Amino acid sequence: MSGNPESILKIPTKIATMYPGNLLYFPPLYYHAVATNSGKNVMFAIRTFDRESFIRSIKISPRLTFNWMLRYIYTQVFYNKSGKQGFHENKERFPFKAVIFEEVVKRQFDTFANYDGLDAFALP
Amino acid sequence: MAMKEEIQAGDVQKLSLDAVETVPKVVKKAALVFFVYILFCDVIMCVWPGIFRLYLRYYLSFEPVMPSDVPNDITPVTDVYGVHDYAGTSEYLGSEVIIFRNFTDCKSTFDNVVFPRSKDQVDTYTHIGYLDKPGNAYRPGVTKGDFVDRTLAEVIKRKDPNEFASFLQFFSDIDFKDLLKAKADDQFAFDHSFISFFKKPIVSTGIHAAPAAQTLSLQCYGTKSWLFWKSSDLSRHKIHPVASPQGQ
Repeated sequence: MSGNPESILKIPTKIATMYPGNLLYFPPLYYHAVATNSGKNVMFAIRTFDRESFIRSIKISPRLTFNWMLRYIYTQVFYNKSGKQGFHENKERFPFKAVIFEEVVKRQFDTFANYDGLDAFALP
Repeated sequence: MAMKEEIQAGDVQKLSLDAVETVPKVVKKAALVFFVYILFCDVIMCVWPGIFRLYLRYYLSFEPVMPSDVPNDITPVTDVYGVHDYAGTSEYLGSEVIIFRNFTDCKSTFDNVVFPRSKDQVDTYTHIGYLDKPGNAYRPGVTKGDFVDRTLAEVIKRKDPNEFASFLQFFSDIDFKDLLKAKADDQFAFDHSFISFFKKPIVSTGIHAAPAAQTLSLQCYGTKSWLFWKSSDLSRHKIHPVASPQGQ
């Protein structure tokens, strides 16, 4: 994941402001970042993971879907003993997750810690 | 003159013979290069984390992907009104992000149905600290610390601004059906639920995606704002999205 938080807003970006009682739908492989207001906040992100979802994922990006599938199988078979699917906070060490965190996320965190990009989210 | 024409004709004939021999070789070499490229990018890098690490080191760049004088290109997601159950959403689900306004009274369903059923469930939560800045699309405004196991009831009661319940997975299929007003035969895989009591507005989750899964995000308490990017737009602007089981 290259680029920076200022220039990514200059490519086509969608914004969704969510209030209590609203339901948001987004298809597979739609990249997103989320800002949250202060105080009590409860949100359920419910995933459908079926034939239709898989076909939509392939239509959106066959390559990313295939890459994900191989890495998913690798992680589930050799490392994930929790029974949970998808991203989750955990104490286990998953190799691809670790690589992305060390090589991408940690560097993004270090580089952009002092950049204030909250206004772009236009929180109410 | 006749002799010259004969030589020229011979030369052309000789060139054509070479071309006939060379073109298949070039095609074969191109096919081989393409095969090796696909093997490397789409197979080896997907089963060998060490190679994936080298790829990320080589390709990662934080240079701007657009000139600084280009304005932001942010447009609102389409709103839909008048849909109040899961069956009604189906005709809108496809390749675009949609908001169903005033979908249900989620607060009431959470407080009176889902919470009583799940209050004793235990999951892993993270301690957080706040950065001086509120964050951005690439960097949340919190740092994550130690993990702690708590019941849902404890989390709701404590209202601790220094704990963030993110990507929770302890609600069940029946909870999803109650929350989404879905039918008994509708199928949902799992949830990524978020509960927070932040002391100030922040970017809570940096850029990531859910491969192969469609998402229905129901806001019950508080407000959130989301920014979205298509993977094709990210690729076109050389942001190089990658897919992993953890969604980055």
